[in-house]
Amino acid sequence: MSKRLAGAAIVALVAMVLAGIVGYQPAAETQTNTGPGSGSDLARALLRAVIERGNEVSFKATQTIILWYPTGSSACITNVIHKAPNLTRTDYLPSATATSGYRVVISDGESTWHYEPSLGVVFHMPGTAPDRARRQKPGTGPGTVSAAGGTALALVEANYDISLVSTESLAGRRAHVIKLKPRHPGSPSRRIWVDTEFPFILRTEKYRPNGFMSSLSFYNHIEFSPEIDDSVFKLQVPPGVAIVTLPGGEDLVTLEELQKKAGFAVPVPEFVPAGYILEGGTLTRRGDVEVAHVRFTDGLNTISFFVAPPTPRADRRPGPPGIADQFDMVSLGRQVALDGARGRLADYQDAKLLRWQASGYEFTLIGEVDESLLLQMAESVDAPESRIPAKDPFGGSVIKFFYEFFWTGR
Amino acid sequence: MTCEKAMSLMSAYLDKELGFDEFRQVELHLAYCEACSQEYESLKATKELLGTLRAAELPREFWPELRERLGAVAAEERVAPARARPTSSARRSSARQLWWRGILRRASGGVGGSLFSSPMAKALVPAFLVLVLAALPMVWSAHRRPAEAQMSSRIDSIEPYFRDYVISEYDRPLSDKTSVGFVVTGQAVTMYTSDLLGPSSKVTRAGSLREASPSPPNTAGNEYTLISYPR
Repeated sequence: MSKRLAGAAIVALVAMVLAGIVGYQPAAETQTNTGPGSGSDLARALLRAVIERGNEVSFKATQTIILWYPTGSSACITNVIHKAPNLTRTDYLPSATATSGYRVVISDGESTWHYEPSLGVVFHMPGTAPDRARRQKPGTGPGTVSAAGGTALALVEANYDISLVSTESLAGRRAHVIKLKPRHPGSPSRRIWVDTEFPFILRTEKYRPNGFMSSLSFYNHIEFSPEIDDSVFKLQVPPGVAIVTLPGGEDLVTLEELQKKAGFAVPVPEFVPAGYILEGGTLTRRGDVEVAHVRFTDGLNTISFFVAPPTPRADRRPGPPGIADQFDMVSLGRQVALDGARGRLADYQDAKLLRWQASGYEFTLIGEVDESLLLQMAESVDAPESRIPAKDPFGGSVIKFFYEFFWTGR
Repeated sequence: MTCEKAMSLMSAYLDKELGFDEFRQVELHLAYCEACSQEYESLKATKELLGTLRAAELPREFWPELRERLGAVAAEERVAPARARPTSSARRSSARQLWWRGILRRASGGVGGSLFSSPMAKALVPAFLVLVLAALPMVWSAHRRPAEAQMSSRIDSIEPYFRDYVISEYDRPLSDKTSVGFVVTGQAVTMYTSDLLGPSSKVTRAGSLREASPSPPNTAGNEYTLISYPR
């Protein structure tokens, strides 16, 4: 009898274990949606909700960020508190990989205050708040458009195949996994996890055009609609801390307005990667020179195009514009051949940076698209003739002749 | 960060001895400065090469001979008290000289052998040659460094451009703002510590904001509110 009881107990135990294995749901349990196009409407609706109502969700959370660069990686854990609609406090915790120290960032929807205790400095950055509603003027030039609000979604829909991949569990929440695959080659792709209950992104994975992951951010823990006291958003710093006000993000203007404001011709590339539109531009100061910053976007990503006018500067050597500075940049990335000029192409964090000179202008392109697209953009820029005479026209011409004969002729 | 600064921190960077700010700056600098990146690779390769070297085994008679020599030096000093007593550093120097003189004497056949017949010389000469070979890249790069550093003096100016580029990510409705903030704030730190902020950034002291702040200073905690929300 006792043997029978023991046998029954063993059978029951095995059955329980088997039931446990079958019934166990891992943290990232997946339910794949099958069928062509299934869920794409839901995915679009979710994205629209995130764009339009994402800021309305108050939360307290712990988030992990990992960034991969061609030369290394960077990671940190953050505590984020957001009180709808526009108060956000982010505590970036020190990283074990020594890539960042403790810092506090508070924003109110208009500007950002960033306290760096290790430096004893508060950086005030007007116009750089994450949830700032840009007061963009609608574009008037061809292709110029405001990428804010609904237009952004329209752009994303036009340039990316949006599909619902699966439903998963994450940070104690259920989330729809949405894949954004670029319709045009050479652009980064993305996967985002949107909470099933709130219009909120729980996890983001970004991939380079070559398919390698460039960044990952996800919430380890999140609590929606908690009680949040306003005192959380008061930045407390010791007396004597330096307040450094950095130039902030200016409102975008149209290309025509930008040219008028700049006082110099701002050439733009005739070639723009498929799906990208001219978003607008701003003027930004570099020392004693105003530089035009023209932005292109496909709804998800940015390509920045900077135009520095041919102003004679103290640090430029005499000689024909476009020659001397090429030697100055000899250490920036690697040299690339452009149509009639030479440029330098470098990896900078997860972006590519291309810089070259023509007619005394200095051009810089930065973007996460494939480098071949940046090179095509650069080659399509028609630099206007410089009105600034060379300081040493004769000597410069001789140098230029020998340079082109012996160097570019190779 | 300038190339000179990056070069001076490179060894410490390689050994992971830098604080997070400097580590980050060097890391970013290496990301786009080809000359410094090459220097880093060269230094790293040299270090790895040295790490793979087996410690040269000293001949068995090395230590007894060394002790004997040192004893001889001490005895020499004892029997010559009339001589002016040297300082401790001079004594050490003298001991070293005598020790090396002994090695050289032996290596040059002073005890009857040929130049490389001494076991000590057999051990030391290859080690010396390896060291010279390992140091060559460093010497070469130090030789050409000034010119390259001068040429790359302007490349740091790409940092403000990159900052403007990253800030535009805030306007992308589906971007992860915390990640963007991580890069933007890191960029601010890099530019501040590398003195790249330029004249357009305004610096004040926290004390000067007291009147502007709607909240009174918190005197108890020796801290005060810099800004107050909601407005």
